[in-house]
Amino acid sequence: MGENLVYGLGFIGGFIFTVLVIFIIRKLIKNKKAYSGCEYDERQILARGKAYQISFFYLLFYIIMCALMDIFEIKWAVLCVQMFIGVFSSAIIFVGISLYKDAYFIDKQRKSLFIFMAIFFILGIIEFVFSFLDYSDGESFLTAGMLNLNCNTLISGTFMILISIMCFVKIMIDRKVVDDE
Amino acid sequence: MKNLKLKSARAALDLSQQQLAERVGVSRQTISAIEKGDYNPTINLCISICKVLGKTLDELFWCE
Repeated sequence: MGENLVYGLGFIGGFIFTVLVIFIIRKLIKNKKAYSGCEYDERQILARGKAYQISFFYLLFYIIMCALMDIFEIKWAVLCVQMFIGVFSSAIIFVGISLYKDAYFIDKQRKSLFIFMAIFFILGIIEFVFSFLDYSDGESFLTAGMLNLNCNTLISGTFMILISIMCFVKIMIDRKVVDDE
Repeated sequence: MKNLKLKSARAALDLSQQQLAERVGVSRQTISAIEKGDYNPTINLCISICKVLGKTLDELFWCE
């Protein structure tokens, strides 16, 4: 229980910290009027709506599947891990569609895409390292055949690496498209 | 369906997709998507493109 409490407090703390950082960054950007060259056009807003829609319906489907598996007593992960996987994977779908459809990044912001790719890759590697250290300390990822809280770091690390791979693929696709035009 | 009329009108003015996008106020990808036929622009965007290229809606966006 004590370990779960620490984990929960860590999660809430991290969440609040992230919201605060995003709020401060947005405030700083708005103050500098850096948004003037980065306004989104109608196609991008439409693409974003599509990405929200698909990731929302995916999450709905995922939750229903989890509920059904619980009803049929197919135990594969503790509830917290099931929810985290759902949130992470729907976020991945949203990011993937947004990237593919250029819903956020335009040519002027290519550098930002490189920075995002690097940040997510580094964070993913850090999470893998922590996960490996936990594993070598004797902590198991399974409890009674179910994925437990210990695997959350590994899962989020995997998703971060996936985001960095998607950014890399997008950069490569754009480079080819620009060359073709 | 590809919009070759838009592409040729842009090329006639020796404008790149990026230049046209900047004049219209959209992203280069949006102009690219319209030319490829991947995106149907709203009437407002069509009018903006027509004004920049000096063409009518019929000349650029009417399918025969």
